Amino acid sequence: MTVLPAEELLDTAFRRLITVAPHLLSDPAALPALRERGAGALLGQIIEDVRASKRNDHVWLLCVGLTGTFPLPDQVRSARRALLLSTGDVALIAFLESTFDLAAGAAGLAADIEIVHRGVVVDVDFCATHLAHTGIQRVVRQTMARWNGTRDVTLVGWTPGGLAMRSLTPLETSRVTEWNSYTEPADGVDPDDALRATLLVPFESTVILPEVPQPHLCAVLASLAEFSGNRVGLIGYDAIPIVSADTVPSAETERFVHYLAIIKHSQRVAGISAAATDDFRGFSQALQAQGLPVVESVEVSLPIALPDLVHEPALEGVASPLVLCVGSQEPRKNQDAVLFAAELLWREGLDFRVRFIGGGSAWFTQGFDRRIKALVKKGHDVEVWRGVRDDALLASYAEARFSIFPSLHEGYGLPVAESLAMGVPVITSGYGSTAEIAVGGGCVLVDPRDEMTIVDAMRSLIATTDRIEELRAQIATRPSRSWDDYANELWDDLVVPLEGGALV
Amino acid sequence: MPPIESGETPAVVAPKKLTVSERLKQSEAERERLQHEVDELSTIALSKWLLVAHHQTNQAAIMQSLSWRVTKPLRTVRQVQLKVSDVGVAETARVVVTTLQKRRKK
Repeated sequence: MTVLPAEELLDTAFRRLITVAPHLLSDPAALPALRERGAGALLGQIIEDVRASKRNDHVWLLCVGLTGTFPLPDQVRSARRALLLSTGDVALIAFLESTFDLAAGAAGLAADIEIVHRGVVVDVDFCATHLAHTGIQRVVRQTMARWNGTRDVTLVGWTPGGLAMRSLTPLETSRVTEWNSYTEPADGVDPDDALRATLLVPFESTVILPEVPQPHLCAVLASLAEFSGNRVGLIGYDAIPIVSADTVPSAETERFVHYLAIIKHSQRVAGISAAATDDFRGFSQALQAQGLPVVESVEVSLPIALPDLVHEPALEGVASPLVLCVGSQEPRKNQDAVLFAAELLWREGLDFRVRFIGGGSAWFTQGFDRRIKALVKKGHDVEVWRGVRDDALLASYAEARFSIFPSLHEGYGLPVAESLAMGVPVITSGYGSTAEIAVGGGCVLVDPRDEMTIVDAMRSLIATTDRIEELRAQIATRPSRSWDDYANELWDDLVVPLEGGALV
Repeated sequence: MPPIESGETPAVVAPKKLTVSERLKQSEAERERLQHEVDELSTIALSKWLLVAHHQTNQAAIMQSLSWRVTKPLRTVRQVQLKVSDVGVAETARVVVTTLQKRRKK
């Protein structure tokens, strides 16, 4: 924390007000004269004009301009009420009073802002600041690698504590758009300084949320969606934390409920499969009871494609067939059923290896790792790879006889699509989004709740090669759909319909 | 005091009558002066508001810091020391007991 002199605070606030003034003054031509008269006069005139306009988006922008902080829903309401209740003479004092908590609750007073007017702003905060690379991050990184440079987009993150959107540092941009080719600095060396980044304020813009935001950002994004006048669109992955709450930690469900508060005031959701789109459509219909407009839900299915490869995977000459199970390790993904089936088949005398690839939360992986160790002790060939890059993942697909993904509930099932893209047959669940993917061929469908169907399917693919060849032939005839196709369709179906001015 | 001689009147300077345009100019100057004053006061109000909010932000950050929380016992001891030098050991003991009892009730 740094104590700033009053002059610096005033100068910075003055610059912020000058930045928002052209969007808030009823007569923007008056700005030069108001600048001459000083920060107080400029603020007074802006407040007078915002009060006269009664526009929520103007109140929201004025809050940001004054405090350098994105307001929460109650803070916008409180500021608006203070403005409308005050008479002209004391409107300035009333507004300062009503926004004091907003200003004092964050460190935005020392920051400059830049407005992104009538642009496309994409919030990629998590991918920019984390090295996790499972389902959602894979979609975001593949898509942004294609949008960045070919579309007019501004990628943004959030300041620490979630006070405002900010520009990304070069390293963060690389984490999002060049996942397979950039170099992460050595441990302890981080050239990033998010605090020095410029705050970016979308206004009359399109804001795209391709990630599920972190919990501390949900309320401020809900406020942006409800009040800022920006049009908000999201990628809808699934509603698993609600409809399969029994399979996820309760914190995930709580987080998702807050995420729904953003969707509630958004304009458009692009579901990653027909099943996911139906979930969000159902939520949108439920909003009618609250008198809210419908959130348009469109299906933009993920591709059957590989991540971008830097190096071709090298095949290792190992005789024993490899069964690959990719995906974050958690009860919903049903890895324990795979372990059970594998152990039964090993007891039957079948010779094969099992490799799990994917991360997971400690609350599950601790027990899972114990079960793996116990099987290794018995002499079985089973391993877990965590934190691997795409080239290692693809090398594993290339090595695998088949992959298995008997998830209980999925929004899409990226490991199924990636396996098929590599020409590797898949055992997967016979309903929902994975069944949608399987329609094109190359999959053996099972009931993930009936572990014996998993055992039978694994046995049939390990014991003989005929079925494998048949499935490979099916895969070869599948229609292709690439990440390029997905990125282009997402732009056309999510971004383009949202462009075109403010919602007031 | 010398008597005023008859026929003599005291010298009174009649105010110069301002033209409408002059009066308007004068009013405009006054309005500008007052406007300037209001602008300055608004800027001062904004500046004070920024400063107080900034200090409050920093204060909150200090009080959430590890060093502030770790040194809390030291500050408590110092408070007790000051109280003893101010009102004596017996009164300090009474105050400490009362405070602890209130805290326990909460």
